[in-house]
Amino acid sequence: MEIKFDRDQIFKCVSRVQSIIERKSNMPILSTILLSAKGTEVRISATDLEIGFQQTVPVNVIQEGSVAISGRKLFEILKESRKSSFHIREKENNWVYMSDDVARFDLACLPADEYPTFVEPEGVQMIEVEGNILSEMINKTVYSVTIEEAGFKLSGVFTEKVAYEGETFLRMVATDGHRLSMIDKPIPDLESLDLPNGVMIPKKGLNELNKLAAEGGPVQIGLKQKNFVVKKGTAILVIRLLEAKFPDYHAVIPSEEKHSIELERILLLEAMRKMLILSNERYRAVRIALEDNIMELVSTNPDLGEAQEKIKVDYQGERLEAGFNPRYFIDTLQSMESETVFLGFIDNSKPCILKGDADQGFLGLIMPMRL
Amino acid sequence: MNTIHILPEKVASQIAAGEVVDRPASVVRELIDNSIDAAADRIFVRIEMGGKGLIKVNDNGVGMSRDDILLCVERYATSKIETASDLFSVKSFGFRGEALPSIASVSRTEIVSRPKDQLAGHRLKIAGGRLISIEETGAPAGTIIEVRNLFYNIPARRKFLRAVRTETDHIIDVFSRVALPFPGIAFKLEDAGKTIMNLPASDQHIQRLHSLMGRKVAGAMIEVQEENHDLGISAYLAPPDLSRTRGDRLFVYVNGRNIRDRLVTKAVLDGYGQRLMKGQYPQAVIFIEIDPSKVDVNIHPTKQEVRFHNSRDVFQSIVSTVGKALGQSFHPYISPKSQQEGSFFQKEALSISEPVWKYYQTEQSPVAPFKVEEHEQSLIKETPRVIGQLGNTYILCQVTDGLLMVDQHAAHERIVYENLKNGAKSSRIEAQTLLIPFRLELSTKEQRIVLENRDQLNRLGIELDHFGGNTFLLRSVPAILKNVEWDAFLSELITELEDDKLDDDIVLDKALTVMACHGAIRAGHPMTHEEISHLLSELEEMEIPTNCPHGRPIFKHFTYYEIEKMFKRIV
Repeated sequence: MEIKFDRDQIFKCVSRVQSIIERKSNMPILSTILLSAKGTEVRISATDLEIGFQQTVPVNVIQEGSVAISGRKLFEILKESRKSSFHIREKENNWVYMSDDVARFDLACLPADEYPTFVEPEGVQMIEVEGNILSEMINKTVYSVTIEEAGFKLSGVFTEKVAYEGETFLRMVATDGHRLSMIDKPIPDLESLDLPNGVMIPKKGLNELNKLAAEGGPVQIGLKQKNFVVKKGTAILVIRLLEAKFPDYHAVIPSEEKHSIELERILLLEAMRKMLILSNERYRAVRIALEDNIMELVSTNPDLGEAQEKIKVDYQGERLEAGFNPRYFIDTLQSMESETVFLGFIDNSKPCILKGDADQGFLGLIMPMRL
Repeated sequence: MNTIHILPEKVASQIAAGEVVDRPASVVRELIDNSIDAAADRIFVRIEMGGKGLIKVNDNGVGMSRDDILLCVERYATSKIETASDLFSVKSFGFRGEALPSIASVSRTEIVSRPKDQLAGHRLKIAGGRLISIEETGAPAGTIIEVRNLFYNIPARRKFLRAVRTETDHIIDVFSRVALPFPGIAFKLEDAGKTIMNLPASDQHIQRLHSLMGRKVAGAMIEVQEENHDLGISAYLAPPDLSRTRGDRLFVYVNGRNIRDRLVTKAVLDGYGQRLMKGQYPQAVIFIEIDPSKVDVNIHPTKQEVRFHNSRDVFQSIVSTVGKALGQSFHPYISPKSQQEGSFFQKEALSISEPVWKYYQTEQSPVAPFKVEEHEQSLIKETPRVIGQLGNTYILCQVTDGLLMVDQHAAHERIVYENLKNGAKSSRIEAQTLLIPFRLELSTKEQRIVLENRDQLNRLGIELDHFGGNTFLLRSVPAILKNVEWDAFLSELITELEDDKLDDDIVLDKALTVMACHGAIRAGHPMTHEEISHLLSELEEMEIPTNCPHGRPIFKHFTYYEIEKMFKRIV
């Protein structure tokens, strides 16, 4: 294989796949990027066996063929060079020559034919979604995903179709057992998406998807054989779905709140951040008390001290007191966009509900802590 | 004809002898006890054939007159007590008047004795309990007792004696045990003319500890003394990592008498507490000095058991003495030895040309166990320099005197445990309610345990709702626990609660131990340098920074000396 190309032609793609390739894998081939030159294009592939990414880029192909170059090294060379024209040539015994006219690299590579075959599912029914919408949905749910797989196996976002009020929505739900975030968005032509029971999309895959979607413009999505397929321009992303079952979350969503208040999102976010200052491993709860048009936040930590803040709200009901993890509030409030948020309470053993006008279709739930 | 008849005295005394004298070692024990009671300051013991051939005990005590010698082999003849009330405050080792007659009835015994103030001594020969002769003889002041052919007249007993070697070992064991509390008395043990143990008189216990526990253990032991009005406890405690699976190196003395007592053993174990793993026994010597009227030694003919009148006090005193001493003495980042020997770096170069004797000196000269108070003064709070992580499991650090390896899981487990415990004390363990209750299927037995302990579990932040049948719903969990497999956690917790009485503290403690284990970072978890430093500094604040709640050691020291030896820089 031999190609010549402009740095900018492939740099963006190579840098994007850095988060996919495995650095410490026991399969060294997974730390490489496969470059396959054919016709007038080179196809760039990366995979960790759970996520596969491919993009074709037009380059000057001198000789067709494939090489598997260390993804990290390729990225670093492109990053450090100030030259724009590059030359890659395959040599004998898996050595690859790479040059930017000034510097020359001889890279020890791995045999390209060992690269895991990347099968692009065929005959997938795709629908078109606005990238920004998809990105918003991911941003407003993905933070609730359990960081490490434990307890509930919920290390992904549950995605399904729901229909109400005569419309069909695409819904994403995520929970770590302590909180839940859910968003519904109407998507044109959603009926034709083959998604009967809902699927679990792993967090890592969603982050990759988010990178594509956040660029804006239309994105095509589809499902086939336990895979979630995304296409945007010449890029294809295939995400293997999680087998895990998502719990029946409908039962935990309160039908209506008993007390509700509205307040400025930024104000609450900043207050919670201040409360977080005095929390640690052992004492992380903030006590929220509502009474006489005042919302009082108190964080008491025998090791560090106490923090308190009062926020004026419109609340006349009986005194309500409940403990919460301020971290969870911060995560949710950060992802929201509304200037004013609605907080709904039932009692100190039921979840707190978060909503906002500008966050169409979004619902956040945070379970209280017992103090 | 009557079926019940009184046994001839000869048979009766042989039966009685069986209780006191069951093997040569018990003869040695009884005779040395007598010599100590006779105020001797030099006691020589000679044995042959593991004591089966000869046991000869030679002392320079007060000695006996002709009448005393004749009387001492009579049953219930003793100089040590006079009235029944004396029994309740026995200060001497013997008091039953059984030892000598018992020995005399099962062997050929010869007693030679002369009180200091008399010119001539007497020699008494007795065999199988029958007096053979008594005559005047020249003798050194003191008493010499020779016991030959033990059990010659009871073949059944003799058959049960073990090999010479085994019996010799038993004698050595008894000898060292009895000699330990009396550093002021010179002891010597000879086997067939060869000196096995020679313990010259000194004013310290340490020499005796060396012979009893071995040089390495004795050198590592810490000494502690506590006293209140009628109870004095002094103890030599080996570090927890030198523990054994049997309690054979835990020596207990009450007023100088070596005893085996479950209460004291339990107290020492409790004092070591979580520093020991389950089923492990420390190496330790405990001396209890107590008003003789407050302890009853007349429990068993061999006098190896005692009863304390106020056993709870004794128990508590031992637990707190041991616990306190250990708490002050084993610091994670300073090995006790380095305190004494000084920093290794002060010894100039680490070169091979360094005079070898330097090491020999520090290693071979008996290092007196340091006092707890001294240690406290010199406790330099030095933070170890982190080298890195080994196999994502062990933290390696450089400390003043060498290398410190820390088991990250055990260390974190300790931290989580003590944090939880402090939280539980101030009755504030934060509970995170679950959005979706976790369904739990329990066995009938487990269900009973959960229902019985529900309040305690609730205090720990674990809220379990009975859902009917054997199904429970886990509604809230302790907020401090992250990434926990609830099934595994709860089933382990329930198993732990199963076999215990429903003492609040025990339940709490067990639960906390399990919680700590599940909440702690695991082996194989990569850590950054900052995380490691944080962990180590947290560990330093812990009450017991040496062992995880299960008793596994948290760290292991390798001194430069040990490392140098590994590489043969020093030989």
